[in-house]
Amino acid sequence: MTPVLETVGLSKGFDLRGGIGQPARRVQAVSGVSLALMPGHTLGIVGESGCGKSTTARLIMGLMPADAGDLLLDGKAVGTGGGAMRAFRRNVQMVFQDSSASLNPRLTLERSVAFGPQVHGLPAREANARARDLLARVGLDPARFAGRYPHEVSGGQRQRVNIARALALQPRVVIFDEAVSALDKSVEAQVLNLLADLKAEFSLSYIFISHDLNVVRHVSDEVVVMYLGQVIERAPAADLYAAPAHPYTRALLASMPSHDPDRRTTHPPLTGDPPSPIDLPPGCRFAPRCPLVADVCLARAPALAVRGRHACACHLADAGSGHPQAGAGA
Amino acid sequence: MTAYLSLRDLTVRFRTPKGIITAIDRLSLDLNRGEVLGLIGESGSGKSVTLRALLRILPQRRTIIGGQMMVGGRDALALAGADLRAYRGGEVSMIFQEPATALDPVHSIGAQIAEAVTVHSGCSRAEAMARALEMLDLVRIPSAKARLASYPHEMSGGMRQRAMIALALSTRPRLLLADEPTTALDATVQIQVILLLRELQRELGMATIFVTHDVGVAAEISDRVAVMYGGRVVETGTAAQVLKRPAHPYTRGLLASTVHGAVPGARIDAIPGMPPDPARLPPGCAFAPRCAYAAPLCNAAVPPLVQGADGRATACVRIGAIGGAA
Repeated sequence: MTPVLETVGLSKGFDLRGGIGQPARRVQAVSGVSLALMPGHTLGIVGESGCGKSTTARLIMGLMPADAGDLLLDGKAVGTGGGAMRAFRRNVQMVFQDSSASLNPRLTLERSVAFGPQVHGLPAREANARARDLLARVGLDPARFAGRYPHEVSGGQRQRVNIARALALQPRVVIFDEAVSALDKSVEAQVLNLLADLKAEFSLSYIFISHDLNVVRHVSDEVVVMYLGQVIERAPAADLYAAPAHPYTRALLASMPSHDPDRRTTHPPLTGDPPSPIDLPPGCRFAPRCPLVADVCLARAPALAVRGRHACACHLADAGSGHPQAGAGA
Repeated sequence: MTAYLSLRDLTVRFRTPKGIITAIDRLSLDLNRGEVLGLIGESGSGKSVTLRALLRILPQRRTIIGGQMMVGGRDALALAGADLRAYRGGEVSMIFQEPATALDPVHSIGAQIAEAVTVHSGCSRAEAMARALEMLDLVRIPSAKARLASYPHEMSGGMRQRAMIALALSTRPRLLLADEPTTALDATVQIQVILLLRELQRELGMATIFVTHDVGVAAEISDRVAVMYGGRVVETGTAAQVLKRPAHPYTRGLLASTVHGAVPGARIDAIPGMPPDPARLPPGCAFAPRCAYAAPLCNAAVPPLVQGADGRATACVRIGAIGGAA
């Protein structure tokens, strides 16, 4: 089956101006990220700050140009011209974390949702009718909410508007970048249920980016783990959570609070903070924090080795890598 | 024995342009030395206001505080002048969610800790700096001596939160208030900070109130848990009682909403509706409009917090009808 959306070797770096007496440096935010979203699936992306998950989403949406890499929709490369990008955005939409910053404060909720379709050529009356339909569909009664402004509704309601707006162009893929993270838990659960309903009703495929590993497990078919700009592990969600292969993924999962006061975490799986993606080490990017680091890890970066549907970028997973513990337990 | 901290019918009201809002309504809590209370709730539930009331940093002219607040045998609501200054930051100390905004950007970490120590103990500058170094070591900041001269912006998020903890503990407080101290941190850093706080709390024996919206975090750190909703405590008990066998319908709904341990992809048993607007609380139980078990009785009056034989207390008049703890 052809993935509905695919990225191949997506890369993006930023130059940092040097301070006084300091040289300019480069942040490698995303390095060679390849993702494949199958039709009807939800692809979860997890990772900590600086891992490049949001930059990846912005590169896909064309909100910033990639340095390298390809973007494919239905197996066909997406052009870079204005027309090609417009056609692409009809198919791929995004919902951001900050529900109020992503809505125009001067537009009513109905106008916010109708705006996109109108820009894409739908007459105002039809656009408004579609907006009211969608508001109803996301649980906001148009009779009460259509004429309100963003500041007149709660955060959860605003995020529903953003979801309605993303759906207004009848896309096939929606990218959620921490879209439920700012919501209260009880509201988050409602929105997650809503996303599941909408996905079935409109035959959507989702990319779901979150730092919340519980939520990602709940919604995803496949999960990609990123660390310092790279994909370090990729697997069906059940496999990844049951048998994480990469030492970082294991540490990340072990860092989740236990939820059981009688079985608390006793040791932190990792020490220190995730480093910033500035002036990266030559070998494995996780090596400086890895409990299983060996010489080979510092010398040579491991490639993403695919075994069935489970892929992992670690010398431990490759018996011929020269890592003393390679093949054992990874 | 009376508890170290004892709140009786603590009520906090704010004067706003839209009228008077009740942020906390008749809150009663006891906390002993060496005990960690996890205060769980969603936005607007009153958990942060409770901490601010305890630290006595609510804006005086716009706030009406009622009830009783006894801390270490003293009436903390009656403190003023030098006594109040010694109380804030000395007796009671707070760790905020965002160390980046809570720390002073123009002073080094060492200078900020030393200032707090000097103010509260009156010791010399050199002694205070020695204490600052000791504190940075205690919270396990690597190369602590060099870090004394660091400014907050030169530190990573996890390091800044450690520095914030060092600052809060430098004055040897007997009551530590922590307001979502790990919420802004990455997962691998969050667990480090939780374990550090747990260890320091055990070592130093402070009474601690840990505010969080994250049930998992509360399970990691709390001895006892109190769940707040609409400015009131709706359930309190040991961490195991409340988090493993929740009784109040809101606690049950909140735990079901966290999708921890849920079947992936299955529908979440979500609570309908939204948390209440503190300016427009319903006359009876604040949760009644969202509650699947609500009956006319629930709207008659605010249900009192009733303690059962096992020590757990629940504010729900329907608790008998819905079959006790889940």
